[in-house]
This record gives sequence, C-alpha cells and structure tokens, in this order.
Amino acid sequence: MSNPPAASADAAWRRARSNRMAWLLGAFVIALYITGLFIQR
Amino acid sequence: MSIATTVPEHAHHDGPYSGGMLRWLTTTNHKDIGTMYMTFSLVMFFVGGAMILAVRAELFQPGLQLMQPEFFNQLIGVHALVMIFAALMPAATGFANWQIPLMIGAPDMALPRLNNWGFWLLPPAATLLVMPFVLALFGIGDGALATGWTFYAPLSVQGGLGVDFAIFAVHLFGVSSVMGSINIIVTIFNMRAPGMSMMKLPLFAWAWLITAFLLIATIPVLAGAVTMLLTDRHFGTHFFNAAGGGDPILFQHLFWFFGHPEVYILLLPVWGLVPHVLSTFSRKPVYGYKAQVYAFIAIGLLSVVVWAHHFFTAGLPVPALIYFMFSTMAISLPLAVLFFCWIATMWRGSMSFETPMLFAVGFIVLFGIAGLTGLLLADVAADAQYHHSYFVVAHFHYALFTGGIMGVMTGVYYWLPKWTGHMYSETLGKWHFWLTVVSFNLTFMPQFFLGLAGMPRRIPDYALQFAEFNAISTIGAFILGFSQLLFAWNIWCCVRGGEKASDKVWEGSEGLEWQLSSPPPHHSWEIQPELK
Repeated sequence: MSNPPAASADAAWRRARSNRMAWLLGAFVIALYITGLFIQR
Repeated sequence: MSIATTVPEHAHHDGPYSGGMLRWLTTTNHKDIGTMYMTFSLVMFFVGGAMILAVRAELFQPGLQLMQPEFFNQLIGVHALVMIFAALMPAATGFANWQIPLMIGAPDMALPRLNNWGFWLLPPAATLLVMPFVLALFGIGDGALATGWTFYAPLSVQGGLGVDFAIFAVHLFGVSSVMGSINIIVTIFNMRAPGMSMMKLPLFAWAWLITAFLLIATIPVLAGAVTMLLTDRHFGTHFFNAAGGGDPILFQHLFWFFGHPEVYILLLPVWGLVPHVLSTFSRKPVYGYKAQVYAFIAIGLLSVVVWAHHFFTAGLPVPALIYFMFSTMAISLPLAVLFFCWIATMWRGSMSFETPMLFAVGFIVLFGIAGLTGLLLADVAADAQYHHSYFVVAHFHYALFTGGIMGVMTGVYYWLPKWTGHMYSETLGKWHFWLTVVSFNLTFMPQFFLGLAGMPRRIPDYALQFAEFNAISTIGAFILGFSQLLFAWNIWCCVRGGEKASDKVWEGSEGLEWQLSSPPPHHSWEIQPELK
C-alpha cells in the first residue's frame, strides 16, 4: 500500500483519516473495557 | 533494505522556537515529547532502582536488618510497577515519539495534542504510585500496596490505602499508554512518506505497530480487572471474593491476559531497534526483513493466548495446562527466527564494536538465557518446582533487564548523537557496558541457583543455606545500580556538548533519519521525502 504524493490537500486528507481511525480505536478500547466490567465467573 | 530518496533542501534548516517551562507543558512537537518521555523514564529508572537496592540490602544476610516485612513487600511491588509502567514503557514510547516520524518521513505524529496529553498523565500517575510512602510518614494509611505488582485477590481486596492509590495509578498509566498507542497506529498507517509501503517500513516501526495493537487489546482488560477490584473493595461487589460467590482465580486470568502480552509490549520495541543497530555496525543490510516482520506478528498473536502459564500451580484443569504449555512453547519458534536473523545480519559483516553494538550483542547473548529458562518454566511439571521461587525472579530479570533495559540503552547510545548533535564518550559507554553486564550476571545468575535450591521469592528473611548467594547477589546489585550513574552522566555530558556528530553519525547507518541534520531541525519532513 503506497501513499499518494504529499500536498496540502493530501495533508488534510491524512488528518481526517487519522482522526477517524483514532476515534474508531478509542471506541474499541472503551467497548473492551465495558465488556470486561461485566465478566462473571 | 536500501532506500533511494529525494530529500527536500530545507530539511537541513533549523527554525527558532520558544524556550522555558511553558514550552514543555504545551509542546506538541514529537521531539520535545520524546525527550520528556525519555527523561521521565530515566528519573523513574533510578527511583525504582533505589527501591530495589533497599530490598537487596535487607537480603544481604539472613534475618531482619533494615525494615519490617510489610515495608519490604511494599518496596517490591512498587519497584515492579515503577520499572514497568514508569521506566520501561515510557522509554519505548519516547523512542517511538523521537524516531517513528523521522524514520517514516512524517512531519510529526498524527495526533500531536493527544501526544502531549498522553505524556502529562504520567507524572500524576507516578506520584499516585509512590504517594502512599509519603502519606505513611504523616500517619495516613499504612504505606504502598503490599501485594506485589500483580494485585492478586483476595490479598488486594483486603489491602490498605496503597492498593487504591495503585489502582488509580494503573488506570492513568493505562490511559496514557492507550493514547500513545492509538497515536502510533494512526501515524504509521497515515503519515508515511510517499513510496514507503508497509513492506518498506523500518523494523522499529513494525515492532511498535504490533506493540501498539497489543496495548489497545490488553490495557482495557487490566483496567476492567482493577476497576472490579476497586468495586470489590469499596462498593460491595464480590467479583473476586469467594465468600460472596466470586472467584479469586478470575482475577489471575484477567490480570495475566494483560500481564503476559505486557512482557512483549516491553520487549517488542527493543526487538525492533536492535536489527537497525546490528545492520549499522555490521555494515550489512538487515537479514530476513520479511521473516522478522512475520515473526513480530506471530509473537504478537501468540502472546495473547498463553496467559495461564503464569499460574500453572493454581489448580487449572489438565487440558488447560497442556494447551497453555504447548502454546507457550510455540512462542519460541518465531523468537528463534528473530535470533537467527539477528545473528545472520552479523554473519560475515564488517563488524565494529562501538557502545550500541556492544549492548546489542550483549542483549542477544543474555536474552538468550531468558528464552531458554523460559522454556523450562513453560513445562507444567517442572514449573511445580520453579513456581514462586527465585528461579522465576532471575528468569524475568534476564528477560526484562537485558531484553528491555539493555535494549533501551542500545537505542539511546545509537540515536543520542542524532538527537543531541554531539557524540557521547565512547570510553564511558564501554565502561558502562562492561560494568552493567558483569554486575547484572553477578546479581541474577546466583538467583537461578537459589531458586533451584528452593528459596521462595518475596520474603525478607531466609534460611541460612541461602546466605552466600544472596550476599553475592546484593553486591552485584549495588555495582549494577551505581554503574548506571555512568549512563546518566554520559547522557548529561552529551546533551551539554562534546564532539560534533555528523549527519550520518555511523558509517553503516541507513534510513531516512540519518539524512536529516544532527540534531534534526525542530520541524522536520514538512515536505515529505519521496522513496523511489
């Protein structure tokens, strides 16, 4: 997977993609934490 | 892997930036934040080290000399938590902050403000961890947690104020790690220079990518477990209380689901940086790049399915014992691939032994001992003898000191001239290496034999027949501890001045970071390089 050449539009695209991915990963972490809290024997 | 690049002219220019404390509080620059992580890590390394020197002083001879057993237990638990969460993990994150953007040709981390926040959670977390010691001096509480770093229930359910402080500290450390990990993942996926495909990614970045995924998969489980512990302690739940229908072994499962991958979280970044060092000082390309990448992935996957080998003696069903034994042993296969690649990188190379290379080779030899003794511990039948003995203490210090801390030292000596623009003292570096290696073995090799002879861990007093080896171990520990002052002094002198480092620093260095000036400009790769 190769990135397109860098340009200012490209920087904005990278930023938007980074933010989306970060929120997604954060949501995964919180979901895992909450699931953990409900673990019973 | 050789990379032909086009480097923008301005990449060698430096820009003005403001100084003062406010800079460090508010900075979003990956180099500043990397420096803060590394400095914090070094300070906490000495804090954790001082604690364990007090422990070793107590163990110098049989009988109680210096402290009560409760305080002894507290020192051991906090030493481990400090070394893991406040020394080793921040050091690895410091490397990631400094190096990943430089190595992948990115102007900064993808989420710079999150980066700042991630770091500044660490000082309050470390304060929470050591605060109970201070409070106890004023008659508040009974000191820090005395459960060991594992918080095992039901002891931790019954423990004092120190357990609550440690629970909150671990939460903060965890949030910081998750923030750092998310940042590293999105940076590697989204900020690579044009032309840098995943299979051209530096091995250090690959290793950190796997580490970051391990962190976000396991830290929430630890956080969940200690939150449940907190509710057991204060809100009437019985997750881990057998009297209320709970299960103390459940805590062990949850803790080690985090705890075992944590070992690889501490080691993988080092395994990623060592091949760069070996390649540089052997003046040869890394051997088996793809094999190493696949080995990192395999180790990452296996590390989350082997956790119960930490409590074989807790009474698990036999099929579970057999499964966890074989899955644990299976990790030795990808690890053997890594060892093979590291040795093959040096094979017939034009080797020279500057300090980073000494540490890298020392790491390979000594970490091999950790791997081999790990295989012994993975054997269910043999583990019944080794469990909770000094054999385990020796094993995991061979893993975490040589595999973790010596690896960090490898990286520091390797990249310090790039970061500061000055060469460190090679003479001091070599003294530091040899004193560290000799005193480390003096400290921990006797502990294998103490363990085999039956000395249990976490005891302040012991039977007379263990006296000689304990005395040797304590002497080694003090030499080891004080020889680390050479490391700190060498870094300090290098930061303050010294011989000017060239841009490439090492004759055999390859990769994007060496194409920048030493030190790199405050804002680097604003125009990304293109890989041909």
